[in-house]
Amino acid sequence: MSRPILRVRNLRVVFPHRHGELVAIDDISFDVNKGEILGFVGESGAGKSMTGAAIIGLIDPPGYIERGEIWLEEERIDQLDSGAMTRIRGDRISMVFQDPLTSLNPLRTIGDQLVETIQTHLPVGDDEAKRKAMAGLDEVGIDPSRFDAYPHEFSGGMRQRVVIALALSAEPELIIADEPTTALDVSVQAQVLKLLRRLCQEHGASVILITHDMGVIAETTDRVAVLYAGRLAEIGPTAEVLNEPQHPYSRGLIASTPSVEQGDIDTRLFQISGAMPRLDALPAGCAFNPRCEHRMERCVDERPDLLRERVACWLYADG
Amino acid sequence: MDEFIRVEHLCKRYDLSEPWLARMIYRRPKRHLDAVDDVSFSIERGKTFALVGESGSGKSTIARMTVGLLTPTSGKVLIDGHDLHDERLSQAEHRRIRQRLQMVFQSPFASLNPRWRVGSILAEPIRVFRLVESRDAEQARVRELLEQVGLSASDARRYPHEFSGGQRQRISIARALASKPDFIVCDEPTSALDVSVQAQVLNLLKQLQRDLGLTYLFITHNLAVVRVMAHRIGVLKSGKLVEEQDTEKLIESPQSDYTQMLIRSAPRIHRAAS
Repeated sequence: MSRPILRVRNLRVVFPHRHGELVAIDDISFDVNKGEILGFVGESGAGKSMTGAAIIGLIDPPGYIERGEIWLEEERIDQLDSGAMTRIRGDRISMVFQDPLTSLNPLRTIGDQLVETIQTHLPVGDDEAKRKAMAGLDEVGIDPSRFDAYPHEFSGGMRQRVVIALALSAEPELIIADEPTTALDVSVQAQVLKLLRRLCQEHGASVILITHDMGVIAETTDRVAVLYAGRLAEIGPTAEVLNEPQHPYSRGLIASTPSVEQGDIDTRLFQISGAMPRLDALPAGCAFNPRCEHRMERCVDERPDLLRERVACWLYADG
Repeated sequence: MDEFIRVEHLCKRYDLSEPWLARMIYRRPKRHLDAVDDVSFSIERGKTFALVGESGSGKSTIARMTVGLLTPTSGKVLIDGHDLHDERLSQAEHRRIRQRLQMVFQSPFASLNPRWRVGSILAEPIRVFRLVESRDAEQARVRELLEQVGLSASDARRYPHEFSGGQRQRISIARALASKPDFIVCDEPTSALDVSVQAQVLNLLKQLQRDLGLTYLFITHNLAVVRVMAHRIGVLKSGKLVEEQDTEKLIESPQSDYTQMLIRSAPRIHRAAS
């Protein structure tokens, strides 16, 4: 649990653009420990997916990593050439996307796709690869007799299981799951999340789980990072952040999420006024300041650092 | 009990059979899908009834039939005692009923015409139903609608793409209000929105219900949203209503296995605490 397998330091991703540049990710640092599930939560445009893409080297041009370092154990991976990155991708880091229909090849059986992935990354023969693929399907709860079925013959939840089997097939150290259950019904979502958690424990793999759903964060992750407008607002153990959120944005996000456990027709949901700023119109100082109830003079002028290794907010500055 | 809408034995059946010739040659029988199967419920005036269920349960099909966008295979939709799908009604009578029914759709990106200014989008229902006498009165009504949903009167000159998702959903709501309806069907109105914005839109819908005495049919898959939005809930599974109950009772002591499973699977923020 202690040694970080991934370290990201002062990551900054920019997109050049006619009138200067858009800063999609601004000075984000974090670690992912071995065997841990780290959640990234935030609203659309907060930079969650972009952070995942930066780690795995899949930022769409013209965007690029302007500053910062990404370390996978002892290897720095943010400056690798595409050949070296391709080997890491899938081998040591793999990715699960939101829509399982678009991440599977519709023209090939799932068995084929699994065998291909396994043989790309592991030095095994055909029979051994097929045996591993069958075992992989069995592990995610799909009957291995469906080895020769095509993606369209599966439901959304089953397809996402296939994608997870694919992601695990090369025994990676880190899985980046980008909204893996957003397209699924709640009952299926619960099964898929449980599966993901169990498999990571068994394989000792770490996961970065990207989601906009605080409930999913609560049920699945060990630690959570709250992102806002490309910046880290708060990071810490999930139970602490959810029970005692410190950043006004985290507090607002949690308070505005309706709960199945409380409330009635007369409940007025907590609302954060306004909306997240566009990247070309970020306010000076703290990006959240125009929406914040606790705004001080300092917030408008000066951008807060991550204080106490937990929260980027001047409310927690000493003295 | 002052009931505004009553849905009786509503069915929608789709024919999935192969073409006639193929059926004759291969001797295949006809195949049908019952998207909605004998669903009945009623909603009291000024109250919210929610239909919850997973994808494919028939929620949206029912929603569309209650506003007249789809014709049921059998069954009735009674609005204040008038049968919405009665073919004997004259066009004028139909219009009078339809004016009282409006709908807010899931995606505010797909449901607003990108080539029209917001002012025209809101003026269209006012004109279609001939609700005002003059252009000035029409413009005044547009401004009033915008302010009612928390936008500013000057937004009438702008195009939909200039607004964020939450603001666009406010425009959709304003458009629904334009014909002065009594009943609005909200089909997943916030599932495309971020949570902080979802809270704004849900609060707005509740405020409007209080101010204007609106009756809502609220369609969603999110039980947490339903808890704060609905007076009464119906749970749908494969086109059938499996349980119907007052909100608190349904969530605190669900009777059917399916409802229990849905509530169990809803993610909880504070489970991490216990």
